[in-house]
Amino acid sequence: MSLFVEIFTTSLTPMVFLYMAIGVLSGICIGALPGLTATMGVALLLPMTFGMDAAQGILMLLGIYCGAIYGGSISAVLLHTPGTPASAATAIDGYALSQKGEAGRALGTATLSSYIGGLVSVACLWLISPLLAKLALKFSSAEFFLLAVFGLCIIGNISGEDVEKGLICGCIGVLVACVGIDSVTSYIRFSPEGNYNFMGGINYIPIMIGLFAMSQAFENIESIFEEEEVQAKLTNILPKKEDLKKIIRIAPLTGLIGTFIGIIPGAGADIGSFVGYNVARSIAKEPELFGKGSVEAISGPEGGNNGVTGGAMIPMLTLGVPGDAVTAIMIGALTIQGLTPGPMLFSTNKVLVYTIFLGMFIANTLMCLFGFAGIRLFTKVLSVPKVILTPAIFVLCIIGSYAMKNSLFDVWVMLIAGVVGYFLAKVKVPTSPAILGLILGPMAEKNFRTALLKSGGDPSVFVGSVIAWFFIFLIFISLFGGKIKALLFQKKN
Amino acid sequence: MKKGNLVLAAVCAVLGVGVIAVASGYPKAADYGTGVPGPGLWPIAISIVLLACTAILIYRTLRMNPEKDTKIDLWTTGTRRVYLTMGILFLYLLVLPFLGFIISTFVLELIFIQWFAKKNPIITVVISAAITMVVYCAFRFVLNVPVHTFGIFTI
Repeated sequence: MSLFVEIFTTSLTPMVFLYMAIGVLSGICIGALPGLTATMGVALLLPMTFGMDAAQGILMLLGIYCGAIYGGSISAVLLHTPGTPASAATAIDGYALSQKGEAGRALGTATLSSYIGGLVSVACLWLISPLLAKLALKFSSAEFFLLAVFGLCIIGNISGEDVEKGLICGCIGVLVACVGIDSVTSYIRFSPEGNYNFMGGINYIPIMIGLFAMSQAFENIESIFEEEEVQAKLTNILPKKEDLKKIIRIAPLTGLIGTFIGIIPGAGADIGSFVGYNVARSIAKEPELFGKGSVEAISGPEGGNNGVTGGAMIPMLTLGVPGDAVTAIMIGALTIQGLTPGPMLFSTNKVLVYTIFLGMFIANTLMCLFGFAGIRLFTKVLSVPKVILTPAIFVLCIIGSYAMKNSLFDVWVMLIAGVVGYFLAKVKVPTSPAILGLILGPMAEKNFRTALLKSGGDPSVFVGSVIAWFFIFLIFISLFGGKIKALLFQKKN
Repeated sequence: MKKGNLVLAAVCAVLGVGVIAVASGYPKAADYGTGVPGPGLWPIAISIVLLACTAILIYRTLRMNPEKDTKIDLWTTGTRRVYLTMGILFLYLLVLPFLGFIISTFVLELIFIQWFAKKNPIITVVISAAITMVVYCAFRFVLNVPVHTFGIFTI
C-alpha cells in the first residue's frame, strides 16, 4: 500500500498526467496518419523526453505507443489505408462497414476493443513481470548470453518469406554495434584513428530515427501528391448492446494472445493484429460476415494489436530484451535517464517500475476516453497535407538525432541510415532485425565473454544449468520449429 | 528483384570479408591469458553468419521462379523525387555547421514546401518560418538542446 502512496505522491504528478495525455493525443494523430507508424512516432518524439525525468519521459512514450497503435484504425476504417501496419487487418472489415455508412460503429468497436486488449495486457504486465524479474535475478552471464542469442534467432521468425534477408539485416546491426571501444578488453574496433565519433560507438537512436522515420518519409515523398479525402459520416460511435456482447467475447481473448505475442522478442503489433483476426474468425458466431463488415473482425485485430503493447514491455523491463521496435527505443530512453532495463530495475527502481505499470493503465484509459470523445476531431487529422507534414518530419528527424549527444555526426548517421533503410525496403529487407541486432548483439557478446572469463575459458558454462538448457531448447525451436512442423505436416498428409 | 538481391548479396559479401580481414588482425585470446576470446572473435563469428546468409540469398535468387522475379522500379518520377530530396538533405547537412540551424532549416523548408505544395510564395515563407521557429524554440528553450552553438546568425 505504501508503494502506491509513494507512486501517487512522487511519480504520478499532474505533470506526468499532462505528458501522458499529450503522448496519447499525439500518438492517436500519428497513428491515424497513413505513413506515420508507432515506431516512427516514438523515435521522432524521443528527443522531447531528454529533458524530462524518467517517469515523465517513459510514460509520454507509452502514451504515444498505445495511442498510435489504436490511431491506426481510424484511417484503416475511413480510408482503407492502415495508419500503421498493426491496423492492416482492421482495414478489411472496418472499411467494409464504413462503406455501408457505419463508420462510427466500426470506430466505436475499434476503440473499445483496443481498450480491452490494452487492459488485458496491462494485467499480464502486472502479474508476469515481477515473477519473470525474480527468475531473471538467478540468471548468470551464460544464461543472459543464451537469452540474447534466442532473441537474435527470433529474427528468422519475423522476417516473413525471406529469412536470410532478415538475418542479413540482423547481422549488419550486430556488426554496427561492434564499432568503438570493446567493453571487455577496451580495444578500439573498426574506428578510424583519432576519430572520437567512432571510438565512442555508433549510437542506435539516430539509426532508429533514420531507419524508421527518415526512410518512411522518403517513401512518402514517392507519393507526396496523392491526397485522400475522408467522406464518411460518423454516427452511433458508442457500441450497442449486441455489438458489446461480441466485443466482450472476442477482445479479451485476442488481447491475451496479443500479449503473449508481444512477449516474444521481435514480434510486434502487426503480427498480433493478424493472429487476432484469425482467432476471431475461428470463434466468431458469424464467420461468414468476415470480409464484409463484421464487428467481430474489427474487435479481434484491435484487441490483438493493443494487447501487444503491454506484452512487449514485459521482456523489456524484466530482461532488458525489447519485445518490439518501439520498446527497443524505450530501452534507449531509459538508458539516457541512467537506468538499465532488466531484473535489477525491479529492486533498484521499484517505484518507477510500478509507475510504468499504473501509467500504462492510465494511458489506455485516456486512449479510450479521447477515442470516444474526440473521434470526429481525429478524423480531421487525416486532412493534414503530406506536402507540409513530410518536410516538418525531416526537420524533426534532424534535430531529434542531434539532440541525443548534441553531435552533427549523429545527424549524418541518421541520414545514412534513412537512405539505407529506403533501399533495403525496395529489396524487401525488413529493418526491425537491425535494431534487434544493435541491442542484443552487444548484450550477447558481453555476456558470452564475461561467462568465459568467470569460468576460466571453460565452454561447459553454457550448458551448466536448467535455465541454460531451457534457452537452448527455445533457440532450437526458434531455428528449426517451423521446419519440423512442416516435415510432420508433410508426413501426416 | 533478382538484380536487387544480387547487389545486396555483393555488398554483404564485401562487408563480411572486410570485417573478417580487419578483425583477424586484432589481439587473440592468448594475448590476454584469461581465457576470454579476443575482441576480433565476435565480429568474425557474425561475419561468417552474414556470409552464410549471403550465400543462401544468392542460391535462392539464382533458383528464383521467373514469375516471382518482380521488377524494382528505381527510376520513376517518384523515386527521382526521393533521390533529389536525399541530395538536398545531404547538401543541407554540409552547410548546416556554417549557416547554423535557423537559416539552413528555413531555406530547406522553403525549398521543400514550395516544391511539394506549390503555394503562394508568401504563404510558403510563413509556413517555413513557423516550422523552423517552433522546432528551434521547442528544442532550444524548452528542452535545452544547444542548437545555437554552431554556424552564423544564430540567436
